[in-house]
Amino acid sequence: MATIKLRDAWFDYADVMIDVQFGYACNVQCDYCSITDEMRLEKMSTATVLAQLKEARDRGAVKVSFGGGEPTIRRGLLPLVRWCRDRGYRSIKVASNGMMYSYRSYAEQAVDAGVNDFHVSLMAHTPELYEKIMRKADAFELVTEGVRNVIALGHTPIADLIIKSDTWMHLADIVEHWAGQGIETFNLWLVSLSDRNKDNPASLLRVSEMRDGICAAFERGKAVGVTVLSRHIPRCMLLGYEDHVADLRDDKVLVVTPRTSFALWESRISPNTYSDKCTGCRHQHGVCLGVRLDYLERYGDDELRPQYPIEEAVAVSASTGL
Amino acid sequence: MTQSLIETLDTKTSTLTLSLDSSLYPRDVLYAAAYVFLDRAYVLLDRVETRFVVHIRGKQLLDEPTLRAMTGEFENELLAQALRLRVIKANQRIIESVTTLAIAGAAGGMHEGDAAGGLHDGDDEYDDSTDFLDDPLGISKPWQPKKEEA
Repeated sequence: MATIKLRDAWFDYADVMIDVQFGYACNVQCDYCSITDEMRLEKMSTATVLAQLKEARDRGAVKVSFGGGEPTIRRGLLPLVRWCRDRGYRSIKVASNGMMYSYRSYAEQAVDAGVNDFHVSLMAHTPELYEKIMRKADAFELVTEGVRNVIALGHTPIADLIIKSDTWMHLADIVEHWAGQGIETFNLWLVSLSDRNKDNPASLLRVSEMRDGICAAFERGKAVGVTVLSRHIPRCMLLGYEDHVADLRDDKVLVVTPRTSFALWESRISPNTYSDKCTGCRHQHGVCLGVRLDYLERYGDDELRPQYPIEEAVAVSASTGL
Repeated sequence: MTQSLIETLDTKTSTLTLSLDSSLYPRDVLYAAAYVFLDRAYVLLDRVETRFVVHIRGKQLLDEPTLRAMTGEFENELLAQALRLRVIKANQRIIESVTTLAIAGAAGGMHEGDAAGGLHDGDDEYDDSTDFLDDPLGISKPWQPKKEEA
């Protein structure tokens, strides 16, 4: 069995998901998107994608993901999916905004080609907020229809939600709304101040300001029987809800972009930076990957609550009188 | 007389140091050859003046014959990778075209009349076209940044 090194650990190819970001073209312009105009022109040729996937398959890979940009507007997507299915990829994921699935025929083609892991970015729970974020009229209705189609075809999409300045207070309602549409798993991602969105610092608030909304989403998820996981915020910012903090390394994702390849948790929009305050925390180099660099640069580490071993915490407490 | 690649060999630490004429081997060839050994050894690449220096440390205890055999394997791998690189460069376009067409033919068409099964090699116009499905709402139309006014 061939192995691959992702950052500092070796993994069997069979456990690794090859995440192909084969271009950044998109059919919407979300107000928090980090893709620059220059990046939108970047893409991998179908031949390059095939070569990468063939090599990975030869080494034993069975999990593949297609993202972007918006992969469903790429003509080569479904033939690539079909090729992957026929060559032994067992898990085939497509990360989409979900609008193209509003065409029942397209959703059927996607399922027929072999997509069996649908991820849909869900922006909001109302048409107004959806349009404000996605800047596209009828986006809410299209995505709703898309989700219905995918579910009717026997697949339950996994939802990706963005935590940002105009969504955090609605997260619980967003979860409840889409749970009502049949979604069972929600991933919460913190908006990133990288690339194009670096000029939009107002989109990212302090986690401590948004914590009530985030935790309300966890609670609402429990109440309606769905799973809500945070994937970008260190556990010490969500004390009491550590069970809802996912480890980005669990999925063992190798991201392949037009420019380069890297483990998902090496990405500049992933949490992978420890502050000095983290030194000695029992989760450092363990279950915690740290904080996103752009977050640290904007807000520092004031909100971090490192979990020192008990004896050290007692000593610190005694010495400081706290 | 061929100069030996081996600069040092130490069975106590299972280490081996090889020295290569950097004018003979492209750097990519060196990387590719070194990559083959990653499952068995820790490899460090270095450069001293006009020579590449390869430090290899076995992950397990290795005796002298094994270390010498590893040297031979490394030499052969350098040649194999050099040839591979040369062939790939010479035939890049042909390989991509033939492979893609072969794969696409077996993949099955997306719709009638699409002989290549929807898989096309690096054809930007093809990849960017959105006439592959009925899209009466224009959903698949890519968003374009507004051109700056002159």
